[in-house]
Amino acid sequence: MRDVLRWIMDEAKKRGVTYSDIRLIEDEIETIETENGNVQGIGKSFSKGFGIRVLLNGAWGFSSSSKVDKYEMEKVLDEAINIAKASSKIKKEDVILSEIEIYEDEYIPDIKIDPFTVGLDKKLNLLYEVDKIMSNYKPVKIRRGSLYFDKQKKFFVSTEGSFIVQDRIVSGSGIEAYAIGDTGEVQRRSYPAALGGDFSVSGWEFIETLKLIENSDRVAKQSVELLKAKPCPQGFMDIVISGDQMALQVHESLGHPVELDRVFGMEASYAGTSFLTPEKLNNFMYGSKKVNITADATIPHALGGFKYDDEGVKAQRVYLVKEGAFVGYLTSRETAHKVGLKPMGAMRADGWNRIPLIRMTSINLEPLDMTFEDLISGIKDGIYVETNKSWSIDDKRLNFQFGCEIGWEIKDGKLGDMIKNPTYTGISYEFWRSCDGVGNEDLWHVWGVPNCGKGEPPQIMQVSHGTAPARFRNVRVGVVR
Amino acid sequence: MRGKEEILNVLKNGLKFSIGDEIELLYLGKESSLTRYANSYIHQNVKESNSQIRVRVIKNKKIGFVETNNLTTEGIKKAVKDAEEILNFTKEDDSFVKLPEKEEIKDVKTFFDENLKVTPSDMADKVKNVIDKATKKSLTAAGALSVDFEEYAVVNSRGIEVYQPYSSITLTTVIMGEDSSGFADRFSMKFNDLNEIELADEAIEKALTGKNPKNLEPGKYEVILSPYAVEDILFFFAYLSFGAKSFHQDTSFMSGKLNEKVFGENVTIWDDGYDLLGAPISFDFEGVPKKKVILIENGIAKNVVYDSYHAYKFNKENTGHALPQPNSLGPFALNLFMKEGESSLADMIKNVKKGVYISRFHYTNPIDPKRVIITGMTRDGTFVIEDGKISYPIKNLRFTQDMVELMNNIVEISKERKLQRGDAHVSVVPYIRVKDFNFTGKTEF
Repeated sequence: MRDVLRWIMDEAKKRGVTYSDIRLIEDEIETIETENGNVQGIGKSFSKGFGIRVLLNGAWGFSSSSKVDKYEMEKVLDEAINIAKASSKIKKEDVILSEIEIYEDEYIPDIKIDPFTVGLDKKLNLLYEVDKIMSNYKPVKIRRGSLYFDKQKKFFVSTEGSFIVQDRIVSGSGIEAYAIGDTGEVQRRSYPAALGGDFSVSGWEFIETLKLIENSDRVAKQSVELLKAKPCPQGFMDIVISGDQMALQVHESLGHPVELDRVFGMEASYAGTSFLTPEKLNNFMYGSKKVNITADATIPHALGGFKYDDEGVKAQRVYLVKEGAFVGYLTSRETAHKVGLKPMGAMRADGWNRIPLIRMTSINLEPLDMTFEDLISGIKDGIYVETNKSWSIDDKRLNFQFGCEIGWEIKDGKLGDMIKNPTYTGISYEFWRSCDGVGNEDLWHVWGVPNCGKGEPPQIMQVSHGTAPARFRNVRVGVVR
Repeated sequence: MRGKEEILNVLKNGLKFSIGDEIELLYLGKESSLTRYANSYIHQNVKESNSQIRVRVIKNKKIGFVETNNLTTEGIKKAVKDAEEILNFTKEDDSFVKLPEKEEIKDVKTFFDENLKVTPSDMADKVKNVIDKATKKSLTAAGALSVDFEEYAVVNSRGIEVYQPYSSITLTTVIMGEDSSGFADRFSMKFNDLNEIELADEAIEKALTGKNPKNLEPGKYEVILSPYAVEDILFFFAYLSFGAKSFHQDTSFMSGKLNEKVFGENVTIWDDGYDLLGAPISFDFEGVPKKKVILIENGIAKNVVYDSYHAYKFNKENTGHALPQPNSLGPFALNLFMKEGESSLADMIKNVKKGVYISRFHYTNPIDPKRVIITGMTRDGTFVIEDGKISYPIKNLRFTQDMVELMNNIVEISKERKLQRGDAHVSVVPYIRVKDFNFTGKTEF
């Protein structure tokens, strides 16, 4: 197959393309879901295919197929060329790619226990055990658990001479308890995070670190306690936000608006554009001096990490926000050239049948020096919130509103009563400018987010966010209808 | 496109490999071309072709699933074997009764050969027509044109053997000025029926009238919602409330409320996979024919939709609303209709003394799924209505709205309805005029 991949790139050159690349991907996924002690679904999926991207006459074309042979590759290459020719009928300027270093490399991540070698009985028994513990609480009417494993081999070959083979194994898990009260009120608690749990480029050993069984009782108990908890107070208050919720806060209010394709309007018709326009680069205070945000695809085991992106650019760590100042974008070879930056390696596709787009890697709020007690003790009257329940942000990424599963009052520097349905809202840069404390390295964790959506046709990407709890002053909380 | 004979042969061949009590094979095939444009040029132009088979095997009430895109005999044999391997580890599902039985499927034409002749160049030309109209008004155009060919087929060991090809064309656009924008989309089963000029005109008109938006303080206002926004609301009811799973788990606002008044008397909503006004489809992902289901009739909760699992479990009629299995969502209403009213949009605007016209919602999300309380932003054209006229454009607002309450606050419904296509569903929806819509925040543009 390696010879065939080189051959098809030679064929692309013979056809006069400016640039071409091919990605061939084999993917195996296992999902296990339980609900109320029963198997909701055990699924295995296998997928194999390739996609060819062509730059011709200054415009892009892409085609793909699940039929992997020489004849089909030649057909798909010709389709991509025809599509590029059609694209070039309506262009403003030629696409120019930034120069990059060319690599020939094979990468196998450090995985201790291949999750596909772990028996289904062991996996199911873990979820059954969790379910049994949560079933001790009568109002918990819905109990869910899930495990996810993904094994991928990806070849990337280009007309510039790149030949990169990358293996990847992802493991993830999450549990949920839904308590339903006498009046029909529903309250949910999730662990380790909402939206499916936590995920990592790791093997089965990652699942063992999650300590699902040890946390099951607390999760179920809190869902029941929420039924009788106080409502979230309303008004402007100081707020401490947990690490798992900070992951989504970083994701929505900084991660998306620094995607340079989005800044240039490429997503205008779908997800929108960005308030972080190019004239603000190095000329805009995004947050307070406490705010340092990096894009770092080199963090070992981070879900948004890799060795090379889908343009063959080597993984990097760059600052996006440094001591509050907006200093960087997520880029592709095409967009980096437009603003005179060096590509930082953020182009990824969610499969062989999709073109790479600029995607978040691991976007991290860098830790500072505060303990959790320090963060709380600095507040006279405020709230602490945990675990995402809802999210929404406008199409330039300014006005956001998040809901969380649970919260607690903070009175005179100490956690007080539990509150239900907490929400908070703000304008992104005003909110980040009000940040006056970030947790230390002990509180910092890289959260794997497996379902970031972008593009047409929709692409789902695995990204991650290293975060610790953080404190913000005078934030509007308790938005209810 | 593989065609009926080849696909059904592949699936029927797969039946033979199983040693389970029952087996189902679902085929999902798609060839899709998409031309995406922004800043008035094509920046992304792609084609993909993929086929998958999902195998469901049952033995002694244990269920195993495997999905593969290897459609060779060996590939399918392996998929069936892997699905059976799962049975060794899973527990019996006592609620599972059996796979659905064969029922008569009515024919509905959903595939048009003429679309096969569409070239990348034809697609570029259609897009160019939109861009040219925007450019003449000194506006820029963004959007996407997709031409999709899909094939669905289901075969099971109880005799179901169904196939349906599907062609669809979708064009969306956002036309942008310096401080304004307008949106439009169209869906058609035939490439040449899709009128890109009319689409461009609709979005351009909004972008031009939306210039120089002013601030409006959040609060409760009477609003007119366009079909784009109404479709968004109906989707959340389909997702959170209209399916048998959430209904029986007591997580739907309709749980325990059948035959009770839940919406205003002027609201009737149903699901109908066969109605040609929508995007018809003959059967669900288990091969069961789509049945018309009245969900809300004159404000009264009447029914929810079922797949085979939930129909057998709760002794109800299977309404043909299964999603591909396994699926944690349960059955889903994918072809929604909201009954039209008597008004025209113009009359509805005339009837507003002070209110807001909303062209479209953005990034909507439930903050309380059971009560269907949704937050989101307005987008692509929001206007103040004063004394029966569109008065001036405003910057976008955030809303946090109880949608059940909204359905009780509808004071006027248009006669005109529009076919809206979401990611996986379609709906046919009118304009609605609603009192006391709850805006809770604002933004800078």
